[in-house]
Amino acid sequence: MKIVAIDTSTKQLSVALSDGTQIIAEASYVTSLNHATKLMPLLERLMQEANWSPKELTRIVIADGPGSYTGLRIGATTAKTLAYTLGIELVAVSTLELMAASTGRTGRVVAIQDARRGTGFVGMYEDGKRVGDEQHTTVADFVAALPADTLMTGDTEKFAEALAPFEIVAPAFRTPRAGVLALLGATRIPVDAHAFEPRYLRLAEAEAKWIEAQRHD
Amino acid sequence: MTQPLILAIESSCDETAAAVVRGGTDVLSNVVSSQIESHKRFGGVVPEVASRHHVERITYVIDDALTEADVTIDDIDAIAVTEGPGLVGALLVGVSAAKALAFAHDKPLLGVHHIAGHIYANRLVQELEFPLVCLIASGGHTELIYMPEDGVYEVIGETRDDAAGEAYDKVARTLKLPYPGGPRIDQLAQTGQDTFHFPRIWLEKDSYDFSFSGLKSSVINAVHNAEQRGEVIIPEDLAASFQASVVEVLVAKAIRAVKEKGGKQLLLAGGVAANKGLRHGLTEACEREGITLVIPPMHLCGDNAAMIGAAAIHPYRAKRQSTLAMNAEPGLDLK
Repeated sequence: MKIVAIDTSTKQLSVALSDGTQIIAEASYVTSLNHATKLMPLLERLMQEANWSPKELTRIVIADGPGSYTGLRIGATTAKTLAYTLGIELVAVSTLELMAASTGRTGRVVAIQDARRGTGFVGMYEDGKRVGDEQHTTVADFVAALPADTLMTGDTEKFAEALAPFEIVAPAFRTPRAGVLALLGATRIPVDAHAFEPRYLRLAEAEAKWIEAQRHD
Repeated sequence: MTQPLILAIESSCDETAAAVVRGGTDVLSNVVSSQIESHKRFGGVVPEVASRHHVERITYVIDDALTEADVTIDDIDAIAVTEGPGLVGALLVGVSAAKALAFAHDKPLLGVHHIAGHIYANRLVQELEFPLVCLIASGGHTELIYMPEDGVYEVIGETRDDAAGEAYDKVARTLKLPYPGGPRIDQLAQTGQDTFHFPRIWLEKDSYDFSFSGLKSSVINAVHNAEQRGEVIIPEDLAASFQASVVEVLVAKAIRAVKEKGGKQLLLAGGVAANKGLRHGLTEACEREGITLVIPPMHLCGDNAAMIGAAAIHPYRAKRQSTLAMNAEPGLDLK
């Protein structure tokens, strides 16, 4: 297997190559100022150094959200176009699951992405299995009922007060890694590349207002 | 020389489009997936909604373009894409897809200016003769461009405020016409009379620039004043009066530019090129002045990818390739 994994969902940009059991190469910009200009040159460089050609690829693994809308679209469009045009498999893995897995820890892990105004995109994983739905919610309310042995990862600084009772993962393990993504996606069932869309977990603002207005009519 | 086969992608606003064009002139396929139905409910294009639709449709549209052209990606000589100007989130979808295709198949990547595309839509109909003058009128642009030779652009006039198409949409909203309002105004104007005599905004005597915000305000004031006095406005006449002002200024400046620059042709381009009032006004003036007028057929006036494939022949022949670091350029200048 020759797998390419791409994560552009957060301010971090990460790309990896894997044979399905090992990470062959992995590179990340921890704070990439521009995923659009950096993603393809980084992928091209990794593939050249590994001596892989695009035609040999067998699978693309993409972190499908939630995350920054623009970042998600860059990764999603790149991944689905590569999968479609090379006629290979596309596998989507949740960005929150990737964040939980990138901690390298077992037990209960909650991954949080800041979504402003005290809200976040949150997902809970227990030994790698998702518990409940990933959701866009008020972070303080979500964590209030959780047992104290829950590990927190992601944009934890933004919610320092609410997360005070919990262990926060060390900064080195707090960012999503495409190498972890590649291994998570190595054995999953592929999705249809044409129909694939990122999971924004939130409607466009205009859409939400429009739906709200319909309700009042 | 064999003619290169170019796969072109356009996603700068609310149309997801792909096309296969041979040699910059021969359209083998031209697929446009319009989002207009989705944006109608908002009364205009919502960038975030547009960007999401582009991601949903992009590979279907590319695949359809190849299938309709009866070619495979291996037959393609280069991948062209609109790199700007436009909505950044929308542009990024086309740019990301184009880069993935170019990388996957080791094909040259060509960045194309959206307005260059509109201009070269005309070459899909008729051979261009230089020097020429092009009038661009669309929802986002109103410009006069002088082209001394193939592939060389000199912006000699542009709008200082609203684009012509923007003014149309705002006037349409005042008349409570459904989105997109431009074509509705044009339709109403066909049966109306210029009874309001709105001002013609000429700016400085020798300027090729445009301004439509004053006209737009005059129209809105006329409607509000009538409402306050309890008078009934005849929408047909209001539309005809507004359109008469827009068309008179556009036509006069375009004709003057052709004469002063010694242009062999006048080209019309952009979405407003579909406007019957403007087509009629320009046709009449050009006949009177003995100027050759080139207008693209209706289906090539709006945003499409065939025009991007047509314009891409220049960077292709000049070997002006873009790199995989290409970005979307929402404010890209025409050079």
